[in-house]
Amino acid sequence: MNAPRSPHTRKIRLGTGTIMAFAGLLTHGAESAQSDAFPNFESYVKITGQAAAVSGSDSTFQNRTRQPAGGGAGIEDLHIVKYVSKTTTATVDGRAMLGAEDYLGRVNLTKTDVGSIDFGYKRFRTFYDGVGGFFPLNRQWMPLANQDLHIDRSKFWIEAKVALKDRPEFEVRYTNELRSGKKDSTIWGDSDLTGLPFNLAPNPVSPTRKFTPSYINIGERHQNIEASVKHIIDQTTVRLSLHGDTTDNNDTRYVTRFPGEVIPWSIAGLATAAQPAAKAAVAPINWNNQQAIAENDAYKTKTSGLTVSSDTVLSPKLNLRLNGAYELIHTEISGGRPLTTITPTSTGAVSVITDNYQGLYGGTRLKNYTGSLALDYKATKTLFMKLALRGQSEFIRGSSGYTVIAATGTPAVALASTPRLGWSKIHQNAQTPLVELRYTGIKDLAIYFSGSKRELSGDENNTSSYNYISAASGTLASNHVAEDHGNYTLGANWRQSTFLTLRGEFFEKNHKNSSTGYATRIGDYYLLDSNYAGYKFTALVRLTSEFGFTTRYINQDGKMKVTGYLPNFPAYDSLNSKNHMISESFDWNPNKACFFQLNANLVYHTINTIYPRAGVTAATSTLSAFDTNRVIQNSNNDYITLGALSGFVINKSTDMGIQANHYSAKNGNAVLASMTMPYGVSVEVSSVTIELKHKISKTWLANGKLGYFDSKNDVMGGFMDFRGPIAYVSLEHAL
Amino acid sequence: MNGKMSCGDCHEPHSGNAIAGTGVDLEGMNATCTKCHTQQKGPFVYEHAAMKEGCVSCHNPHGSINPKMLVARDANLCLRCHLEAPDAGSSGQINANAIRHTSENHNSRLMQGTCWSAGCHEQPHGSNASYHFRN
Repeated sequence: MNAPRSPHTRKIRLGTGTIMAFAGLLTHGAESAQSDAFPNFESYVKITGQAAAVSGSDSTFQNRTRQPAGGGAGIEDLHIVKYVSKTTTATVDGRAMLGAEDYLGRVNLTKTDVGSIDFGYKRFRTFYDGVGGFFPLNRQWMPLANQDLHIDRSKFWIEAKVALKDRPEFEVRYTNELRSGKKDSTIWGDSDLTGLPFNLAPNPVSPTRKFTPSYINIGERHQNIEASVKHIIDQTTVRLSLHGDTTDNNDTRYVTRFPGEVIPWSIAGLATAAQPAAKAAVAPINWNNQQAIAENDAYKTKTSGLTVSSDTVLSPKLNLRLNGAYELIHTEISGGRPLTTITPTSTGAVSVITDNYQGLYGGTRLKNYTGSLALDYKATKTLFMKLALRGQSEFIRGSSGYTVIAATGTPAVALASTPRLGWSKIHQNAQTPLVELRYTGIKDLAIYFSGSKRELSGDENNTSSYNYISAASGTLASNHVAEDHGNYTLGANWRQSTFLTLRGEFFEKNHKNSSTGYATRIGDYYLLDSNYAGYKFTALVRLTSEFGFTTRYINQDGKMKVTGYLPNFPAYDSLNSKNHMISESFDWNPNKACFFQLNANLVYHTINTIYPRAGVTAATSTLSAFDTNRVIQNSNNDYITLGALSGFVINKSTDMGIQANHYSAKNGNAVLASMTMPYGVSVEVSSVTIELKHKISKTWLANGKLGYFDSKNDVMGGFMDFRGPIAYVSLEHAL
Repeated sequence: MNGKMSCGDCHEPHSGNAIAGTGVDLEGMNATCTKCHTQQKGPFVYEHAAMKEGCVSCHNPHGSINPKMLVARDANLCLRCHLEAPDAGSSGQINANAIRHTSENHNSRLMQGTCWSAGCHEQPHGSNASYHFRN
């Protein structure tokens, strides 16, 4: 059965391709009255093919556009609705996109006043690149051998609902989610191959930089089962929910340090004082030894909990809501971080002393009690108030052990194992009162306010890892912790007329977090005082029925102060951030057969910490003075997006759309490379897309898109650039 | 995750501040993230207090110019709370004057990479092996 989309409204519907690049070309209304509207099929199948001819970095293309560089084809969308009887409807949804590895199968059966059953399976792929960093001084570029990384996420679910009239309503839901594959990591390995001089005293600059790529091998499973019953007793709706949840994760990060480098042991064996001069005479490729890290985090959890809630209508003006919940989580941890040299020595490839641990074991337990009470009070027709209080008590305990493997001798000839153990305990209580007000007593004006204040107090105790054979106990840390978090919002919406709507909002987040040592830690003190405040302003202007624009401005300033433990030290300004965002959007519908839209977003965002104001590191006998301000610059996150979109009715059965987009983030400064890493983002992406949609017959629709993309990344030496055309075609048929 | 998530996965437009699970509801804001990112949920043996401020302290869920939707890609991300301040007692060296009596001079390390990417504090979501969130 085919239902016309709208008998008198032709909405220029430009296809829903799976690729992000075309996302902006989706539904936008030239809400023109035409009788030849594209049909909106109730049951249909949509066959799709897409292809790209990209030059440059395929992996960056995949990561950025979320589609495979090799293209793909298949069933993008299958939707079948079957009316089994007057009260029973069956719905089937499907998708099978080869290449993108995007699949869906779903069945839903719903019977009015009885309930429903819904089950299905879906799977999709996300792409990542394995490109790591780039060192500009000598144009050093070390991508992974396989840059084509991806993660597949899949989910099976089944849920049933029984909702008989005037009876308790039951729901059961089970989900099983899997996540597997490889993705890139922001933790990078070291290299001396930077073109920087060896740090021969008094040169303070080390040649070592961290820019060799790494990746994480993901293997995760998450199962959840939830059962609930809801029943209405007089004026009260009561709901009881039970849930059980398990995770079984086994992730490993692979990092390569100093790839391609081999340290000459004879030189490493020299006395420390003699090493710099000796190493300086050695070719850079021989400065360090290639090392492999495989950091494994295996993590299993079992969670169980229950929630009881009620919602009571006390009077036409007053509602009371109560919630209570309990949750218990057990985790079991295992893993290790073996770090081995690649170069064979007299003992073969050996573990090295730095940050190497193996045989991690242990677990944690969390108990959480939560309760809340909320009153919704409609004082008058135009004044609404909500008063609420939330309380929470949380207990966490954890312990772990592992073995450090250390190598001694040069070359390493002896390995030593040292067992280590640590534990922690946290108990904290929090209360959060909340107030919300909404007033609509002034014509065309709505004023609202919300404020909450979370206060927490608790205790944290832990030991750093220690050798339990040689030490009686670890270094015990005992701290009182406290939080005082205030969050406030005040805003108004004013619809002056059909031509003008104004919205404004002020917001403030004022948080204090403190940790005060006691027992063996008397004197420890840490206070973080943070304040974020700002406002949002939006104007929607419709000058004529054909032309309008929307202006939006957001301003946010952030400040943080840290007070440390040292006596007589002041509170330092640790953060000063500024964020300005301006958005502008113009809409023009000159007639019933076309529309134009222009969009622009400008963001100015800078994060300034105390470090760049630190000054100059003074010279010593072995170190030249250098300007530490250059080690860390402000973190700028400025960017611009520009978009132009238009749609045209070509004739009774054909629509056309044209779209152009530009994104630019120019915050990179490769000049910093000699002093720091990384050195910002400098990306520019432009695209143009043209789309045609054609009604072949009453039951067939065709859609074609052709786009061209050009992406540049200056701070990556051009190795992540890509450009080229992308094409998409689809055929949609009513069933 | 473009196209695979929608606003409704995290936001409840008809309640309160429009973030699923906050206010006086029973779940915390982080729960909207950890329902999918289970590896970062914990509890860990050594919890990072920054998680109390929420995942959004370091990640912008609506998107960022930085990888992993980070608010900042460099060490400023950490230095907002863990400042490195001049310490008169160390001849102009830059030392941390907060967080457990640390007086390490991080200059040379920060030249090589960020706090977490340089192979040191690799587990910012919480660690099962080190109080310092080291590897």
